Amino acid sequence: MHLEAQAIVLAAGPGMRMTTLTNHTPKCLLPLGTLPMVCYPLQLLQEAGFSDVTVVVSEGEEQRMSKVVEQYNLKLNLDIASVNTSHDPGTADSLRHVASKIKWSIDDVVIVSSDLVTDVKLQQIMDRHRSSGAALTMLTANNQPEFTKATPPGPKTKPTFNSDVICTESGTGRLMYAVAGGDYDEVITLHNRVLKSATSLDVSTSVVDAHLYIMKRWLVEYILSKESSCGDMGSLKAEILPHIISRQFMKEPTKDRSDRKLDIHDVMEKEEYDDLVRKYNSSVVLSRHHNSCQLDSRVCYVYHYQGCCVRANTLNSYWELNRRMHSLFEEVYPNSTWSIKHPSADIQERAQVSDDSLIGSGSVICEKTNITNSVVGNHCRINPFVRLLNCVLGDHITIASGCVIENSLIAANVEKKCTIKNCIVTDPNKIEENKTYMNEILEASQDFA
Amino acid sequence: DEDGRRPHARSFTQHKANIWMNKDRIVDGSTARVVSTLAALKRFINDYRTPESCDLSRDLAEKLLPNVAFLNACRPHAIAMDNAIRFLKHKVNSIEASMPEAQAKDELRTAIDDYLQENINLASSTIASHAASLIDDGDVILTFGYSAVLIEVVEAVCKGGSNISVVVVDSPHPSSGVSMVKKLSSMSVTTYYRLITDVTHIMHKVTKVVVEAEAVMMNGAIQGICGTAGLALAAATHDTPFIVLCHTYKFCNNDLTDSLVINELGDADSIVSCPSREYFGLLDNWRETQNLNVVSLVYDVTPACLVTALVTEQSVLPTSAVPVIIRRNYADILGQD
Repeated sequence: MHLEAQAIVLAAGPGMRMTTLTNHTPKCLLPLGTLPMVCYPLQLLQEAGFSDVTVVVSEGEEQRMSKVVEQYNLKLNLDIASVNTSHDPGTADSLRHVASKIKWSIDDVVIVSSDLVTDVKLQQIMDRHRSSGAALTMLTANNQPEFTKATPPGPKTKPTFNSDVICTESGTGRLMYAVAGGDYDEVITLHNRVLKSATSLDVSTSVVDAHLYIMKRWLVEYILSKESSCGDMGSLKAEILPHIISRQFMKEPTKDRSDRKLDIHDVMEKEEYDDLVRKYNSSVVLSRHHNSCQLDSRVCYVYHYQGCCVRANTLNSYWELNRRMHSLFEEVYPNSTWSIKHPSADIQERAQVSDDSLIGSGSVICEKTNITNSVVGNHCRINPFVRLLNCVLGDHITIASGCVIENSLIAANVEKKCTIKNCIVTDPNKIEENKTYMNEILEASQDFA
Repeated sequence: DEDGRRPHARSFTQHKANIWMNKDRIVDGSTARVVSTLAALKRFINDYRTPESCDLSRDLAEKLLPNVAFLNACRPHAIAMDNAIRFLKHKVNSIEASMPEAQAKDELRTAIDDYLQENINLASSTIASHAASLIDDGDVILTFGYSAVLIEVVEAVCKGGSNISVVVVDSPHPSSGVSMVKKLSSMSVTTYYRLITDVTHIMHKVTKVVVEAEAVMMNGAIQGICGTAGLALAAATHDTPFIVLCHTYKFCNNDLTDSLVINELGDADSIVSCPSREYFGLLDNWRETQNLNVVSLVYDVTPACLVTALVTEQSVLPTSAVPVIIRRNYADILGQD
């Protein structure tokens, strides 16, 4: 059967920008509003009609990932592949590990990172991708500083934010140039070829690459081929994407095939009768079918989404997404059977739980507790006389009675009565009876063996 | 079965339907749309699998209907597209029940390839050579909008050694003439560009008007891009020959006498957009304005009496010969509707 598209979720990332949390849990399974982070891109794919998804996780996490579907009521078949992350691979290596799983009969491949939270309709991006005949469509969104610059709990740190630079042709949305944040110093260079290929360019640092790419199958094969220049590249977003974008403007290679690497011209696939359509097409709409010879199968487009679209890959955005999930949930996780105030949670009488709090499944909220504007994960136990304000709790957490916790991220049990304000707790042993903690990160000390 | 049909239908419609979404119009012009439709139908036939205990010809004909209806809903069919789809349906119906699926699909695919090759590729070059014989050295040709067939005619004329110049007349929206000028000037032909509002001023300098038609009717009337009829009238006023190029597969057994009975609404917003700074955006909300309706017609009908000659791949005809062609070529297909 001729399938149209295949979906790949890259979930092997180590979460380099949130190492306090990812020491014990892989980034993709970190709880985001009572659900593991990876559920959001999976739900996005399910909404678009996908029934099978390929997921790449780091070695050892296959079991946990395979349980995600049944635990959280997703109707997908996950094809899980693992990659060894000890030598710090990049997203391109993840992709190489699933090269064999890419089917021959498909047209397009959807590649999405496991930390994307958005209410965009994937079907619309796919429609745009197909009708424009692009080789690559990249989802971009406006930089939302309320997420990226939000202050997480813990000691005050200077927020570092490296903006991506995205350059598109005005009006058409054609992607002309892109460079990832952190890969440029102060100056970016636009090649003459790029400037000549468009009448007007929009260069922006407030537009973010959301790491959702739809690519034609032949382009994915080009990326994965060992003979192309992409063979040495590690990162999809930082190296391979800019390379592909720059290939749009390159002329055909003059050297013999044996003297050079695989070029995009060698693998470009045209659809049958494309040339004939182009010859007779009297349309004035610029597209791959337009008889202007600049646009052909290599063309890359941007799908700019104005709505909610955030990556939870930094501590700031992870924290803020958790805090705002009660208002965002309906849009970013539509049509699901999972509810954010789970019916299986046992909220006892005389426990005060505010309307904007999220309670996970199987959690027990004892009497005489006060929970305001917080996220409580699955299978937690909140003992009596606990006060939670603006907190985010992970799964399987027990809070001892009498604790007062404000504005903190709790990823481990709090077994002794104490006051915690504006902290991140990942190690239960660091908590001492009746102490007050403020602006700290309570984590296990690193063993440098 | 539902599952079997849905991905095919989705693949077909997703592929090409969006191209014809009314607001998109990425593929325009009857020939290009026909090629696109047939290419998409070919892919559809490729992916098609006959379900158990079903007759391929009957089942495939049934499965084609919703797809065709969907395309029609996205953007109304051009008359040429209707003819092409009718041809394919006829081919599908004529598949014998005993033929194995692979062979039947092969036959259909080859039929589509042959249809496109004969009626478009070969026909275009034949039209080009017929038309080239009508054009003399030193002629000033007037044409309208973008037409690939006309580019072939000009190529043929130049190859024959004659020197001509071309005036490309363009409607302001959509301004397809721009790419025409680019193509012609890259062939080193003297090209001029005018708007259609200017045509009466320059008509006396023009020796022949050559235009491509979208469709030809049974009564000899020509359906062309909106503006062609005005051009024909201007040509008639100056006694300039009005030559129409048309592939025979676009001949249709309708009778049209005016432009309003069968037509299509184009992009109205482009008409009301005013380039002057003073009135920019004056009519942006014309939809909410009461008593105001903006209509942009895509096609218009040129009556047969204004057409000097009709150049098809069969021969150069007067418009009175059109019913003969239609009856001869399409009796078997147009008969069954």
